[in-house]
Amino acid sequence: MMSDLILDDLTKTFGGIRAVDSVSLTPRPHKINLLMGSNGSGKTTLINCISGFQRTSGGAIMFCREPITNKPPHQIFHKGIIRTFQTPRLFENLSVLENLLVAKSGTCEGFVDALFPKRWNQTEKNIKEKALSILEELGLKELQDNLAYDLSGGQIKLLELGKVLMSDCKLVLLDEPIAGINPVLAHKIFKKITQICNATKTTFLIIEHRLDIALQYANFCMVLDGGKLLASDTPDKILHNKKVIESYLR
Amino acid sequence: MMLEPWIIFLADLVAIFSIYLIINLSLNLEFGFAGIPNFGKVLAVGAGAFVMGMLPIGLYGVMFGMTQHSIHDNLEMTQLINERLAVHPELGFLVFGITISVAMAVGMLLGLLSSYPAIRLRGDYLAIVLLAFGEMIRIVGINQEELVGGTLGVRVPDLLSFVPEEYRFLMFSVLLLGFAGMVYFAVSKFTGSPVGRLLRAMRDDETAVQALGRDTTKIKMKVLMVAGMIAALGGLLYASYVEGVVAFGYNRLNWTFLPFVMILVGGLANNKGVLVGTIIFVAIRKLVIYFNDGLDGLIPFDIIWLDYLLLGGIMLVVLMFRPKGLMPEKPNT
Repeated sequence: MMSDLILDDLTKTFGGIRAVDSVSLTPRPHKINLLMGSNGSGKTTLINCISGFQRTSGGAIMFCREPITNKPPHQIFHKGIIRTFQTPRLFENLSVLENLLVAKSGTCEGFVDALFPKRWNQTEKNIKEKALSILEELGLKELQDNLAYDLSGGQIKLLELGKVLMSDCKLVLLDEPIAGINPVLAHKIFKKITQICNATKTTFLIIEHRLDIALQYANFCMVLDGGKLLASDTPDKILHNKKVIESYLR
Repeated sequence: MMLEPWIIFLADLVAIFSIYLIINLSLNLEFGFAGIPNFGKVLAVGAGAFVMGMLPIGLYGVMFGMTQHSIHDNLEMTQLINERLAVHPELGFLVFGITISVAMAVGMLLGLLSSYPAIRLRGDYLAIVLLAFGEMIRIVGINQEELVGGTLGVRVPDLLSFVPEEYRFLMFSVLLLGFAGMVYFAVSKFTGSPVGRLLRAMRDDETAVQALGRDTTKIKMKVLMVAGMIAALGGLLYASYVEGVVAFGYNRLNWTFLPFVMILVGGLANNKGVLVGTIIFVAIRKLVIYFNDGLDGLIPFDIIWLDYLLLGGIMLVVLMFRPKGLMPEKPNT
């Protein structure tokens, strides 16, 4: 099957440090791909390069057969790629519902149209309906009018997932979606990811350190070590890969 | 017939309130909603006033076939123009309309110009660059005599020359209130739309907004253009109201810092809050000036510092006890 995302010899350097070192990989399309590696192995830098937040130093990134190397983040999003951040970045002074509404890009946001509610009322109504159904699905509906600032750590992670659902993107890059939350909620989040993946044929590329949980849901794993791709295989095989075990024990 | 002092006081209060409301709404759009710390607010305000000081007198000069110099013979020219406008008020409104359009276009252009640093800068650095932009207008105005008469300034033809002397003042206040009402209505519509929500999101986290497919550089550019347009209107109206333009008057205290204080006290990203903040501050300033003589001697310092001290004091108290202002922003869903 043709992959949505192809990284070819991708390199990112910071002065003399090669944070991502000639990485070539092809995540499995419409599957949950886990990007593993110890701290400082280059996982977040890799996601930053794919999503346009950092310029690459070499190599190429293709998405759906189109080159997207070094395109700005907003253009990458419009190609169908959404990302989340290691430290969740919510709009703290916006309500939970508003956070989801903003995630639906390019809808009724013309500066002139803004003065004429008739031009955007219907679209806004449709988006709101979708947002409310997502909030219900995530168990956040009763918090819709609360400020995002008031949410707990777990609720914040759920809201981040809600933004992903709102966006209708084909490739989702999640940076530690279950960091710092209890195992029950962590499983709930991964179950939700699996459900989205299967139902909408979305490809997930997930960075996660809590392998005990993440590996139960991943379909394919890629391991980075010192900026290089160490291994890529199915979760069962990765767990028994000596090089991978050594990279974590070092 | 002479107007009662309290009517003059009230009319002046309404006029200054209306002008500040227009300017504060534009600043609130930039800072309160979009998070752009425009410390160069005076740039667009001054530009609007400068257009008012330059354009109408030039246009009238051509229309009435005047040969005098618009700066050197400014007093004579405005006197003659006012006499003609008293007979042909329609010409006054035509020129006023043209001047408003030009001033708003200039404000928009300056917004575009000052948005260029916004491409690379954020937060404090952007604020400093915008502050420098704001300083330009006064310095250019003072040194470039051909613009608005340098240090001496220029008089501006009176749009309401056709109105009897005693009612002119009142009518201008009503006119200004009408403009302020229109701007308030338009800005409220604008900020109450999905665009307002997007601007608040950008203010909270620009990076996250980029990750959701928005070109924040373009958005900031557009906001500065729209706000520049509104602020230029405010500057133009002020120049018309005081019937003159003196470049010295367009300083950062009156047209940048005070608007910041007013919107901070009223409540950022809340147009009603801006309204309240503007009323409070303008009323205090005017009351202090009005009762200037009565208060002199009662306080242990020069009376001229009283309004600054009061305004600063109120801001401190509000920021300590209600950091989000008297009327905090509300979700828009």
